[in-house]
This record gives sequence, C-alpha cells and structure tokens, in this order.
Amino acid sequence: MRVELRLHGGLRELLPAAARGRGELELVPGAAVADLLAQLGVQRKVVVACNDAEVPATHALQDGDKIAIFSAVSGGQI
Amino acid sequence: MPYGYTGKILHVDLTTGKMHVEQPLPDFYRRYMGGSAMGMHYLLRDMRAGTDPLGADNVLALFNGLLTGTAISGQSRMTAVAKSPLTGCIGDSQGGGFFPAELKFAGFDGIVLRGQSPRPVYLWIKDGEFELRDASHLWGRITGDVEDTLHAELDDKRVEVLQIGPAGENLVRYAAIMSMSNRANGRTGLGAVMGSKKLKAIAVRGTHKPEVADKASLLELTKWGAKTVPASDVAGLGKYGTAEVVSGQHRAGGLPTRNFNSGSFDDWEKIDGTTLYDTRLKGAENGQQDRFGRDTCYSCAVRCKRVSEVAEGPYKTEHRYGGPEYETLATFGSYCAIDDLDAIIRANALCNMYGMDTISCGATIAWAMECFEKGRIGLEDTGGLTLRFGDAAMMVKLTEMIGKREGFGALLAEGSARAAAIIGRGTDEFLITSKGQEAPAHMPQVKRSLALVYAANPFGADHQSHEHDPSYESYPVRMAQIGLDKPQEKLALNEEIVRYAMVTQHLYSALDSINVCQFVFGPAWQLYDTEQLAQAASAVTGWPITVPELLEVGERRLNMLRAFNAREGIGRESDTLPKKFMKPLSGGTSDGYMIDSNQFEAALDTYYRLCEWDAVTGYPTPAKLNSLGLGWLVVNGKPAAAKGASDRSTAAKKAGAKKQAVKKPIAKKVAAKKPALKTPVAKKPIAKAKTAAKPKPAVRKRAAQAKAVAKRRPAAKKTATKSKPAARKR
Ligand code: SF4
Repeated sequence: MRVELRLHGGLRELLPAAARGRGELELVPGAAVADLLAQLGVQRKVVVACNDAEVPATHALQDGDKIAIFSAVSGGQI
Repeated sequence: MPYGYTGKILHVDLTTGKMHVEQPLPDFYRRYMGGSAMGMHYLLRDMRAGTDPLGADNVLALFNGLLTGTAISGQSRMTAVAKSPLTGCIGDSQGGGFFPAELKFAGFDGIVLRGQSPRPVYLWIKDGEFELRDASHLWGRITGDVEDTLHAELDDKRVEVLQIGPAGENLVRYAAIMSMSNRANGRTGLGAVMGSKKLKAIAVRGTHKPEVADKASLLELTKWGAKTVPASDVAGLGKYGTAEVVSGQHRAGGLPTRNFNSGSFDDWEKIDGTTLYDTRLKGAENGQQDRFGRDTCYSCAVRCKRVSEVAEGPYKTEHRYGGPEYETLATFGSYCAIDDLDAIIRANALCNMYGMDTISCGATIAWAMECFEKGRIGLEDTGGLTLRFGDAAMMVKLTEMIGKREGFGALLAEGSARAAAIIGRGTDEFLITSKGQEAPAHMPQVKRSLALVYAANPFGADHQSHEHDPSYESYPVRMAQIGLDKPQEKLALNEEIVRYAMVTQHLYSALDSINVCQFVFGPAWQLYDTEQLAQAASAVTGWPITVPELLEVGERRLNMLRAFNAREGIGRESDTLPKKFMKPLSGGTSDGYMIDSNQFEAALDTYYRLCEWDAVTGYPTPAKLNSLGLGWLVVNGKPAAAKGASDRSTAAKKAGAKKQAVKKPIAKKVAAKKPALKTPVAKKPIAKAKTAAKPKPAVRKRAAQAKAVAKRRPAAKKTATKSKPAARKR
C-alpha cells in the first residue's frame, strides 16, 4: 500500500531536497505508524497526524492515508 | 586570576567620566561564574531601592561568561542586567554574536555602567585600554550606519560594536541593546537604560584569548560538538533557524494567533521556517542559502542565525539586518494575523535598525489591533489610523512609528501594559503581559509549566527561563542528570511539573550565568547535556565543577533576582497571569484550552514551598539566602535594600540595610594607570570636557559634522590597567 507524506520542519531532510518534504511511501499491508517512522529513519521525537488527526505509533495505516509528521515542540525556542 | 577569565571588570561612571578596573578574587568568580549572577552582585550591592530605571542611579551591568572566547560552540554570550524601564522589576537579557568574545579578548569579563553622561558618548576598549569618546555624530543614527561609521573611524572592521538605535535614545520602554546590527539583548528594555545614560555604543577590539586549564579536554568536547551537530536534535535548528518550530507549534495548537485568542494560524505555512529558507534567505535563488543565508556567533558550529533579504517591493530589506527568529515570525505574523513574510522581514529589520525587542513590539501592535477591532480604542486615539488584524502595511508602519516615538507610536512605545493603563476603557482585558512584559510565542495553555514560569519569573513573561513541558518525557536520560525522572501527562500542572519547572529554571539560570547559548547547552534537546557543560566548565577553569554546583549557581542567581524585586516591594502580588489566559482558546488542536486559576494559584504555592520562599510575600527567606552565600542581602530577617534605599522599599527601609548591603566581601579595586590609546582622532577623554553639550535630537549627523567633532576631540586619558600576556591572534 502507498501513503502520501508531508514532512515538516527539519524532518524534510529525510526526503530528497527537491521534494521539499512531500512524497509517497510504499509500505507492506498492515504497517503501523512505527513501521513508517522506522522506514523513513526518523529518530527524533515526532507528532504524527493521519488524515489530519493525531495518531499513536501503534496506529494501523491504510492505503491512501495522508500522513503529516511534525517535530515535537520542545523547550526554549525550539 | 582564575583560568578562563580575564580577571578584570571595568567600572565606568558616565556622570564624571571616571573609570577604574577591578580585579576580583577567585572566590568571586567561583560563586557567580559570570553573566547574570555576576552583574546582579553589583546591582544588589550598589543600587538604591526605588531607583528610577531611566535615571542616573540605575546600574547597567554587562557580563560575558566562563567559556566565552574559547573555541567551543555556544559560548559567545553576554548578559545585561539593570532595573527595567518596562516592568519596574529587575531587567535581564541575553545576547550572542561576536561582541561577548571580543570583549574578553580585549581584556574584560564585564563592564559596570553607572551615572548619566551630559552628552552622547561611546566607550572604546582596545586590548585592556579604554576611553570615552564623543558620540554626537552617532546620535540619532540607525545601527548599520553607526557600525559603519565606527569601523571607519577606528580604522578596523574587526571592531565589534554594541549599541543602541534611535529607539534606545527615544527611551522606547522595550528598546534593545544591539550588536552586529542584528543581534539583540532584546528583552526588558535595557536599550532604554543605555539611552538614558547617553551611552550610544561600546566598541571593542582585542587580541588576547583566554587561558584554559585543561586544553586537551576542552578540545575534545569542542570537536565532539562540531562533529555531532548534523546528527543531533539541533541540526534542523541550524538549517531552518528557530523558525523550524512554526509547523509543530501550529500542530500543537501553540502558535499564538490574533493576540493569543487562538493557538492555530491557518496561514502558518507562509511564515514557516522552511518557507523562509526556500524563498528569502540570501542565496536562495540558486540554492546557496546554507553558504550565504546562515550566520553564526563566534566559533559556533550550529549556525542558526538567519540572513534574509527582500530584493524589491514596499518591504525591500537589506540582509545586514539578519532575519526573523520564530518569536518574531509569530509576534509580527500570527499574533497580528499577518502571513506576508516580506512584511515580517521588514518589521524585523526595522527593529534591528532602531534597536527594539521584536517580541514586545509585535505583541504591543497585536494588542492595539484587538483593542481597535473591539472598539476599545478609535481613530481619535490612533491619530486617524485604522488598525485591523491582517493589515501588514499598518503593522510595518506602526513598527517604525514606535522606533521614532511618532504619533500613536509614542503611546505604543510605552509597552502594552502602560498603554492600557493610560487609555483605560477595559483595554487591559486584551493584555498578554506578566509584570508588564509581553508574553513570547509559547502558550501556557498548551505547555502548562509556562503558566507558572511566566508569572513567577522575576523579569516578566519569558520562554527561556526553564525547559518546556514536552522535554520531560522526550529526554529521560538527560533529565535524569538533574534528578528529574517522573514525566507527567500532557497539560498537568501538579507538584512534579512544578518541581520540573523549578529544577530546569535553576539550570537555565546557571546557563545565563556561565553565559552559554541555551540552544547548545541544556537539559534536553540541546547539543551538549548538563554533564558535558560541567565538564567544559571544569576544563576551562581547572575547578572540579559538578552538576549540583551548576544548579546551585543557577539557584543563587534566581534568588538574587527575586531579592532585587523584594526590596522594591515586588513579590507574590506581581506573580500573576493575564486574564486572557484564563479564557478558552478558539480553534485548532488547542480549542477550549485555558488556565484554571485555582490550579495556577495552587501551583504557585507549591513553587514557593519548593523554592523555600515566603508563601505570603513570595520573597526569598533569610534561611534560603544564607544557604546560598547571600547572607549579605539579609537584614533583620528580610531581603535588604542597598545603600541609600528610598522610601519605596519598605522592607528594606525597616531592615536598615545600609551597613550590610555595602559590604563587598570579595573584590579589590585597582587604580587605573595605563597609557592612552593611540588612536587617530581622540586627543582627550570626553569625560574631561568642561561644557556639557545638549543632547542631540534624533537626526542623522552629516559626515562633515562628524569629522569636525573628531578634530575637536583632544587626547584620550590613559587609564587602562596592565594587559594580559600576549596570546594567539583571533
Ligand atoms: S546556536 Fe545559534 S544563537 Fe546559539 S551560539 Fe550558535 S549560532 Fe549563536
């Protein structure tokens, strides 16, 4: 199955520069958010929205889902 | 003299022009370490309670830090402290760039400024020598022009210039102290203090690097940091700047919008850090922004500063004025419902030209927009200007009017809290201030520990005084280094979150005293963790500095700030939040979020108990002050006023503080003896001038006039002390 991706902030570095954080990803059927993050190589703490609703790492993905990933906002100015 | 420091502090009396160098003993350095704590020593020792922040008796102390001038990332920082003209409380603000390191190379750990010059002057420091010079030709001029003029006049482009812009001269209550024309000691209005002293600038040039006790260990840490940046959690900060967080803040419902009525801004993508990077950083047109569009502070591998430009149009802006930080994108952007990136870049540049805090400036404009839209102010108040959220042109116009104190801008230059008090008509309902300082772009409704810290922070609402809530859960290993191992649920404001706020506040307070960048050193996402900070501090000084000692330094400084307020009679009654934060937010993922006032008051009670402060007054207790080696601040069981405390400090007055507060346990004075600087123009210190010139109005001085002044100027007095032994060139 394929999901549509939007990686925000510094996370867009995980995709080719020209993509500017947008792309698609092929996943095995039944993959969860955690699998997607592992496949992308996400190591920092992030917030994941699936079809605009925040979801946990265990959330099972569906073909055609629109996934947005944000850096978790931390302290100071970051 | 301890390793890492120059061992010298320059004292300047701007009224008389007298200057001397103090050489404190090592114990002084170990106790305060630098920055804010060191500056506070002089404020508490020498200032009267009830001092007019814009009067001659205010003391403005500028201190760099323990690591400043070494090669490790994040060390070139300087803290300014003085009584704040914005809040009437203690004022405190940090800035970076190259000036702090240059000041150390020039031979000083800090500068303590007193008095008020009869006419505009600047202070010129070169390798341990110093003099005051006439600055009439600089008065009224914007930062870039002043920097260029001083570089030409001193015939050295490597001179670092710390200065005020016209806003500081015009006593805008949130005027900043600027360097590089784009770095700011922005908060609490200390640029106005410098302006009230008629000190236009401090120019420094030095060639003496600090001596380090354990060079090998420091080098190892330095190399580790530089190598680790790309794989660290500050990689995105380096590439996209603080603006990287716009998207995450919006998603979390924490991007203040329409003067804090909402935490979601529909047009956030137009002001996001990636948009700024792709379209407006210098070099973006040919993909060269990593080379030309990012700037740094002295020897920092993170390179998070923005260099933005707008090539054409009404908001045309040259790149020397830097680029907007996250806070600036929010205050001039989402606070005002403005999505025009060029207008925000222009407003940011205007703040840097005129020398103003972008947070208070943008937030004050947003407050005025809401007042106008809701009918609390009208055309008769604004001088015929119509204010609406989303009006980018008006926002830019108001920014310049504030810097010049023109028309309605003169009222906004007072800050929103004072302006609301002047206007009345319920305009205070729309304030977002604590202790009179406008809230930065992090929302207490979404990160609850901010409710406590915004209210209780001695210098008003501030987002860089502790670690924000999400880090507790996200960085368990690093948090354990400072004894925090019980992360709580989102939106909690219970005892453990209060403890988290206090402990991380102590650490951040230490960061502002050791004086390091909070993006590079800290307890969570930063490049170096707390143990590495202790290692770096130990390597530089040769002292075995531990994490508990760092926390104690931070706690000492926090108590000094609170003690300053206490002697002004400012305590718990000022630890409040704006009413607006107790009302539900609307829209986005934080829809309905608000602060519960009972929960907030309970958190304050817990906080005072954990801080060991008086629960009723909010003042540090004598026992607490004694335990931190601050017994000299206690008289008759209360935080004492300094010498000559006025009637406004009842606590201090009753305490009869005179005798104790003037005690200087650990400093010795050294008479200045050094020969004069050999400079092309100065022949005599301005301080010796017999006739006091009238302050110049805020207009630019022509080059010819400047030359004439330079010619008239007689030779400099030779007042410097012995300089440090020669060191490597910069
Ligand atoms: S991280 Fe940024 S602000 Fe901090 S020292 Fe480095 S360049 Fe300066």
